[in-house]
Amino acid sequence: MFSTVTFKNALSELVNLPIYTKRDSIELINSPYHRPLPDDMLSFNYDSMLSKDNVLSPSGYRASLLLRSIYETDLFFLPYNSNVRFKELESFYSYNHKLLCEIVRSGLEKHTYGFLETLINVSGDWKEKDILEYFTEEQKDFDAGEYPNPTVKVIETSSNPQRAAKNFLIRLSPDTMAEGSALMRRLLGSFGIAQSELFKIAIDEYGYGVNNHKHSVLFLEMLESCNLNTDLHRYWNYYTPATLLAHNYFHYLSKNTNLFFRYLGKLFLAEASFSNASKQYARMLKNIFGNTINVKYFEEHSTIDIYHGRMVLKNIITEVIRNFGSYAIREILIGYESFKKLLHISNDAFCQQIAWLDACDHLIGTGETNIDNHSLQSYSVKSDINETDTEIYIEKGSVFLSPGYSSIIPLKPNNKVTIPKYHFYTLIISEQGIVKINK
Amino acid sequence: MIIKFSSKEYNIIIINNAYVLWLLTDNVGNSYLVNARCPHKGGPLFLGYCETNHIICPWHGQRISIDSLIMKAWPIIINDYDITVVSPIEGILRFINYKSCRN
Repeated sequence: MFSTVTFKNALSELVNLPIYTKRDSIELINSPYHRPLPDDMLSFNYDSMLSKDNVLSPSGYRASLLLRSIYETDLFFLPYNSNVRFKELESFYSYNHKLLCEIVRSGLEKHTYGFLETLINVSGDWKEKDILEYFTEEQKDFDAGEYPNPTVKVIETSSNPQRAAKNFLIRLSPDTMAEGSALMRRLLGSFGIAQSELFKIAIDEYGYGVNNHKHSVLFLEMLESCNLNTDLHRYWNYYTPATLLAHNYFHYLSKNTNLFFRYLGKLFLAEASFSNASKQYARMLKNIFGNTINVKYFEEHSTIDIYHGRMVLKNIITEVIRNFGSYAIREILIGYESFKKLLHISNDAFCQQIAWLDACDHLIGTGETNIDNHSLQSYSVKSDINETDTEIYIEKGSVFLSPGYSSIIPLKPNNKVTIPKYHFYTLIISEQGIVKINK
Repeated sequence: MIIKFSSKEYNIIIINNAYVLWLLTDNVGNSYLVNARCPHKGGPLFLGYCETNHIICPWHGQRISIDSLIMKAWPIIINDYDITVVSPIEGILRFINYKSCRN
């Protein structure tokens, strides 16, 4: 890790790059390279490790946003039309940007994921048969999961299921829009059968070379079919700390080569659990949107991940632990359990967020409005989360509160709103707007 | 057999009234699931007295080193308060919470 001074200097230079500034529109239009960050990035201390109780704190949110961008400097993005902002493209993939990212990365990772080192512990004399028995039982439990799982239940019972479902799809989008990328990062090198088996999974993720079968393309078609925008990171400002925490984890593991065995544990959980979950999501989306929604993405995963789960367990994990013994077993289990914990945190936060989104309809009495993104250009956008209940007081001007996608609540001068602790929100503030935030 | 329990609620598992397992924490805070029956005559070590590196069996005062218990610890995963055990023995389970000198 770099020294504190080097870290702070690099962070300062990084967050002042144009691609990280100008948060003036709630939806980002036509640029996958523009990653606006909160303007107070430097006011937080990233030296200490967060705990499981405060990992969704303001500094956790800021670290996760920046980590997302850092990991994605390895991925190549082009917009789906010819309006490429080449200056931003050059800046995003520049040597200077990547160098600054690399200086701050490990500090931000330790701040965000360090707590898992104390929370997860594997002890005792683990043998090959033990881990295989455990994972086989876990697989059976995932496959037997009955409809509806807790996430599906929260969406279906929301007062506005379509809105809740769209927020759910936005929650998936940071990862699924470039699906398979974190997996692919760790395929290079020379590591025997595991490498070949991972390659088979990667080929499936990328539609075996047929663009329309690529999982990321299936996901975009699903977004389009329920009137969500397909621009890369269009919904950047709606990515919650919990969403980023879970999605970034696979990048964290694949970026750090020494964590390869943990990467396998995470991969097993993802592949083993997603088949049943996908079946449930496809059914839920059809219940909510009718036959107009295209759920091929989830239908594909409901079948292919049956095979992928088996392949990871029988062809990769079994092979690896036979060759590398107790070290590999321990690391695979840590990766598996860590991701399980992160998913738990993320799912709980999502369910809470949807309940709050619904509650906000009654809070002000205005509910969902038809304000579109264009009418809010030139406003400043502040997305955040607080560790205590926080009172928002509008002193003057035009201000909107968004507790999630498709809910923009106009607030007037003298309005007061209490944001519950650890609930993500966005304020959209006009040039004349003055807001007091009392924590 | 996979056994799951919360360390908030329990720290002793008894399988088939024969195997007594104790969730023991070492001096640096790591937890292990160890055989709680004294190798001498089967006394309940979780009822014993603690020294820095030893447990004193309450029956005959045998000094059992913590390292020797840890060496034969059962395979477990601790995920926050959730404990998962891969047990080689199938059978009827009983869970107990006992405030011992090592929890």
